[in-house]
Amino acid sequence: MIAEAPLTRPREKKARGGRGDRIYHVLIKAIVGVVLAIFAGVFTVVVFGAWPAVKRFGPGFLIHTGWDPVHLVFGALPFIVGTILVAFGAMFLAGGIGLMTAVCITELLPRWLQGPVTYLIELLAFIPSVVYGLFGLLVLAPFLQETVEVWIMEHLGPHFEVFNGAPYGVGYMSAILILAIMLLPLIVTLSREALVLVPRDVREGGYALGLQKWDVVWGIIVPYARNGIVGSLVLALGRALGETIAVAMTIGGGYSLPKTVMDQGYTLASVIANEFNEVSSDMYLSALIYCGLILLVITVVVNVLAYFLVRRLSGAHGFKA
Amino acid sequence: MEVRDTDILMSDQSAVSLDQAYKLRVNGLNFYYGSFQALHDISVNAEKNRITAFIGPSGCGKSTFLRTLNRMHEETPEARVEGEVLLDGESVFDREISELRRSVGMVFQRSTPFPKSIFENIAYGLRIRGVDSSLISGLVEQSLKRANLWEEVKDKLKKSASGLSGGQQQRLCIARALAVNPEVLLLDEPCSALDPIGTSKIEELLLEIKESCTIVIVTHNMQQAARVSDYTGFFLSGKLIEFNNTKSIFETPSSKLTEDYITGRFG
Repeated sequence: MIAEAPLTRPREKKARGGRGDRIYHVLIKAIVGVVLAIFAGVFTVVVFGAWPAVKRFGPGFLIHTGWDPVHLVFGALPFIVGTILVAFGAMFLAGGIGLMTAVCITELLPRWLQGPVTYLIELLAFIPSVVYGLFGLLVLAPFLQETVEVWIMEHLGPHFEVFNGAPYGVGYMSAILILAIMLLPLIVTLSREALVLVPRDVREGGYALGLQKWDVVWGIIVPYARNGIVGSLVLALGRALGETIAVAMTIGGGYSLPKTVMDQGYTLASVIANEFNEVSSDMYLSALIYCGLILLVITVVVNVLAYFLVRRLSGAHGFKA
Repeated sequence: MEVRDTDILMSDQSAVSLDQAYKLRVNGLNFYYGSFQALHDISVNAEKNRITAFIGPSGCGKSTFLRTLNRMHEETPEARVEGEVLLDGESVFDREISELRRSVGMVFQRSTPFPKSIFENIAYGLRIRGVDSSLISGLVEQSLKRANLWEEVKDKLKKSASGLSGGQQQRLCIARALAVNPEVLLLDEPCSALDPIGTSKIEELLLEIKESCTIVIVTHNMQQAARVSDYTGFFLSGKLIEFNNTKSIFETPSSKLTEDYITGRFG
């Protein structure tokens, strides 16, 4: 009983607070409210815009192929598949190379080289995505068309169905490569920061046991930094799913399910960008917005899953940062 | 080869007996960070199965000195060493580095559990070393017992080491170092982040493991040096001012500087 009295007192004091404190609280809450309202607004507008198509095609839109603006038959499956293929293809390339690069910078390069190399890689992040798109369209795609894709078609095509395509240049392969290049600086920079934050004592704890560099890096340093590394991959995946213009310029365009890596197709974001100007009916427009709604939901779901993944990593079996 | 006065005075016979008495011998050690000289002509010996402590104010070079004993300074860019460090009469600079560091274990100021379970923290080093997997869980238990940690963690070996208290983490690091059976254990201010209970547990532990291990400890806590060590050296500005048995250092220091430091006039 006696002990309870002092416990309640600070709370009363806090509630009374100063005038400035109250204004501050109201202001902060208002700002948070605005941010939430913007999200709710975007979601509402997308749902309303997509509503006619949702009513007409229902969930079948997600599993049907076919994109015929004249007869108003729409199915988004090829774009959903395209989005996932392009995003995860690019993540696969950029994730591996990016993590290796970050480890190389922090653990292998001499200190005087670390800064300049990091800066050069960060510079890649400042290039606008439309410039990447131009590079992909004018440089990378013709290069692939004349060299790599011809080789793949001749040597791998007869044996593997996924390589048995025509060398168009633009297509899934170009889009995945361009997107991977765009994701690299994000992954390298953020993973590098996570690796640099590993305390010197933890590193030396490994070397003090007589472990070799390789064992210290992959057994201790990378696991220690795994929250930051996974965080960088999540951010990159978010970007990969939503990247629009560079993919739209390099993926070639197509309405059927991809059969080979050299096929042309669309992702959800790029189909909206490329078709938006050619909308000929309200239902066509609504179908495109339905694509946007699907993309929005995919992004939110991926981010929520990533949130739980990061939380799990820092939980019982992980290491508190 | 540089010839030293001591080499001339000493016959081969006495060199051998020195190697038997002293686990570690340091002769004329100079240490540089780039152009800055951090240690000046340090010569000192550490007796086998004894605790040798080094005290001194921050930045006096005592940690730098400790790090040369298992060549940990080589992880610092621009660090350079001159002079001799002998382990059982053999220069540590001639030994293979990972093998040296298994013989000369080290525990750091901040406890550094790896981002793994309690069990894996100790097992990882053993497994990398190629210890047979059927022996590992026995060795883990044995090391945790030697570090007086077994009773506290035996039911949560699979849990993350980060859930342990600071003192337990530090004892885990000691257990990890002991798992590979080192001949020498170096401790760099192992208790500076611990509360008095955690500190006294570590100190008790040190007195137990010196039976099987030669211990060199760096501390800025003079009482700690007085409590646990057999020999004490006092560092100031990169020089070893005085080295003697602990009782003499604290009761009848021969240098005015040592006396000023241990009576709290600076530091």
